[in-house]
Amino acid sequence: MSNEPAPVPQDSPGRTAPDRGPSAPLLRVDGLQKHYVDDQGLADWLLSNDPGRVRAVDDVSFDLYRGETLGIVGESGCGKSTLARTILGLHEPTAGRVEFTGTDVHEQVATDRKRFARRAQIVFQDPSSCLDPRMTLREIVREPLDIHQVGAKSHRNETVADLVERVGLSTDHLERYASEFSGGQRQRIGIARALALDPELIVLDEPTSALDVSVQAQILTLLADLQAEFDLTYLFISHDLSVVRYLCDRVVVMYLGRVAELGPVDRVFEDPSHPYTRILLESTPGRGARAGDRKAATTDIPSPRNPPSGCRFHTRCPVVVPPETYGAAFERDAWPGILEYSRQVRAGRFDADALATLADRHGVDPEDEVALERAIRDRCSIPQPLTDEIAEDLLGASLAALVSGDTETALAMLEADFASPCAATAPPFVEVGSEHRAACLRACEQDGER
Amino acid sequence: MTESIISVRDLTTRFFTDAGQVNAVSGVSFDLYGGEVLAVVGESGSGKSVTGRSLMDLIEPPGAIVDGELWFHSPELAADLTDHPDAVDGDFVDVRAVSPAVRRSLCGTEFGMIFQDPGAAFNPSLTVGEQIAEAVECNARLARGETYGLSNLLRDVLSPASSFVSPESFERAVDLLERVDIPDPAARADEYPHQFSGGMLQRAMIAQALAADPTVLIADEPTTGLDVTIQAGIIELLDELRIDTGASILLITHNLGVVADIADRTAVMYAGEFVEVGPTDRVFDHPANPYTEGLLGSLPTFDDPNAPITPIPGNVPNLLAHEMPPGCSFAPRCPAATDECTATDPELEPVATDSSHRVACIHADIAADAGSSSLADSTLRPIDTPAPERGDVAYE
Repeated sequence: MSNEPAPVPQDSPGRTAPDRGPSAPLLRVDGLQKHYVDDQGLADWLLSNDPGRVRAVDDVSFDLYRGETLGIVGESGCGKSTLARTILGLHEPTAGRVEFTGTDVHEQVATDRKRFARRAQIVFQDPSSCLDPRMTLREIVREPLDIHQVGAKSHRNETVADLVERVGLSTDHLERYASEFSGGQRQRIGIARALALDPELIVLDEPTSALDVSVQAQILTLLADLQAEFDLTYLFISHDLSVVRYLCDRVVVMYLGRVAELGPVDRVFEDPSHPYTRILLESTPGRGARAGDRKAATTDIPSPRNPPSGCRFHTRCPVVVPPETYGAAFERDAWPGILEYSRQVRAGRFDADALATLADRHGVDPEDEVALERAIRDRCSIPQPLTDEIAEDLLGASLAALVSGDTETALAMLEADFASPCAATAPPFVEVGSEHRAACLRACEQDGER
Repeated sequence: MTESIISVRDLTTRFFTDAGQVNAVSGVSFDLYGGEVLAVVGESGSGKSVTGRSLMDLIEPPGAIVDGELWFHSPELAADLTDHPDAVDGDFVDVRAVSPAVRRSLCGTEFGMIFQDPGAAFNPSLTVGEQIAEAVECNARLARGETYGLSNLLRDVLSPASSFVSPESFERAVDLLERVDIPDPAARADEYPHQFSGGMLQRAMIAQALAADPTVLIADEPTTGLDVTIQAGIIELLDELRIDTGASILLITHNLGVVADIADRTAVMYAGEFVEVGPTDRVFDHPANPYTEGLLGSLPTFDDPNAPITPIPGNVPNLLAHEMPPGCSFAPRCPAATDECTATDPELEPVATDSSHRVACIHADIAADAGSSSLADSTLRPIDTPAPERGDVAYE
């Protein structure tokens, strides 16, 4: 179609960190929590059961400076979108503060939502569901101007025409309905609408995830141009690490409602300090790793309704810290196997049926407990025997309980004897480099050594 | 290179809509070799999914496969069909030319399909185990030569509660779930699709496609909508299955990163046509078609964040026959287009440096001795040459 701009090769936007100067951040998020609490039924109320709660955002803090683009990445369900909406005052936070130019957003919203809306806008993920199908392009882009009574009516139409041209649409199409535009064009409409009130901050909630690569490239270059032209600050939410690397100056990696790592994009992606960031990077397709060379994280993501204790990532982490009672040799030789064993027991992979299958596969008698124990050790690559005698005794007791059919005791023994500090303590957010922080006990260790 | 399993020739699928005729797939020809992963990439609306569905004979009105041959390598079937000389060529059978019953017996058994969006493809009111077992059961009954007759109809009408699925099939379904690494498969088989996460449901979908040990797996956007970590697991699984079962995989996707990770060969589709086919590293490192180049240029490169991205201007044409540009369909968006491009519709021809790499572009560096027919290429089985007659074989 003719109304798309010609391809202009773009320099990568603002790779160097913007000049922060002495000024305070544009946006400061401090200990923000957003929990969704279930309705409490009568029975629960009578029994005074606590209603269930989904900890969508749980203690998130970061600063956003004027003119920069901050990326937020993480898997679905990690709380990225909830965070964005809470920041914009669309949701009431459970705890914590969001400050925009020094004043509390939720107070601003409570007293005068319109005033705040002129300064912070959002572009939504799905361009086909966020535009009213009964409104024309002109009406959609003019609506914010009408609501906020910006200028005279004739002047508004001029503003609309300017905006529509600026985002690469044709003014000939002003009377068309949203459904008559393609996905990429609809996303341009969403961007024009967000720009209409000349905001300082734009939250971009996965603006390109529904688009094809060629159209995604058009939108990314448009966003980079607009940022330079209108001096915008972006909060860019995405699960695509390549896009974040292209567009953002700094990045926040979120896992189950918490910040796992935060820092300049180049440093976080080139020298990640959190094992979760490393897994995300390794899983990103097209980085030269052929399928088969890569160790994929196959475990299901735990629910934010019942997040794991301690470090929330410890149930999937490949480098969980071993219990302190054993030595370095234990960590190297025995720990990975024991970790694998306890995960499989927890996932119910050693129930009676599974044990029978295992025995069958190893050609051993399912009644022969010693042989079965060996088969389990084999499957989890636990050396036989462990060099540490105490560990060997404890592990042997758990294995014996397991093969006798008592999975619960086996698991309880494991949790008591091989408890990792990762499961017990939530790691503090420590500095691992300049402006680069991570929440991982391993990072703390390095911090201590330094 | 191993033998081809499927040879598609001039596949043409159209949709006859109120707005006009939509040429979704226009004369696509390709070979799928034994044990390979062939990726079909392109933007939405380029005809990728329709190509996959055409192979599975899943085109429904107002759509129809109007032309094309689909040669499937099956010596057994070829021996059975000796009385249909038109449909048999050596060990190959033209699936388009055989009776619907024979075609039906191939789809689902020899060709397995992994559908896009498993959340929508599974029936929400049946357990996952039942649905997989159903596929197993259908295949077992087909293998026994059973057809759905009057007695089956009566039974189903009179006692709708009696299960179609035998206990053996259900057991096999549980085995299949275990095969695709679903933890605790026996318990998960009794759960409903909404109790599965997206990644788990995609695995269950793969299990269902494996029900009859297919020789060809058609995976339509198997990782779309999944998180990168889950996506990596699915790609890993597909690769593992390819190695274990020797099945060939036709991978339909718009994710070029996934293609680079798993595909042996890549076909780039634009406006219903293949515009470039070749070994994945050749296509990615030395794209011969400006469209392929454009696609690759639009992608932010992770390991070189300072590399500029160059969008392709405009949009994919909507494939309506009367709105299609004349000549090369990419010409209106192509930075290298000349007047000649709008005059001739280019055919796939071998690239000068590598005959396994073919491109449809008049500006590409085409091998001089390509000849008039692209199908004469050495990597393609020449379907149009007559099969040797029985009498030609010398017996000692």
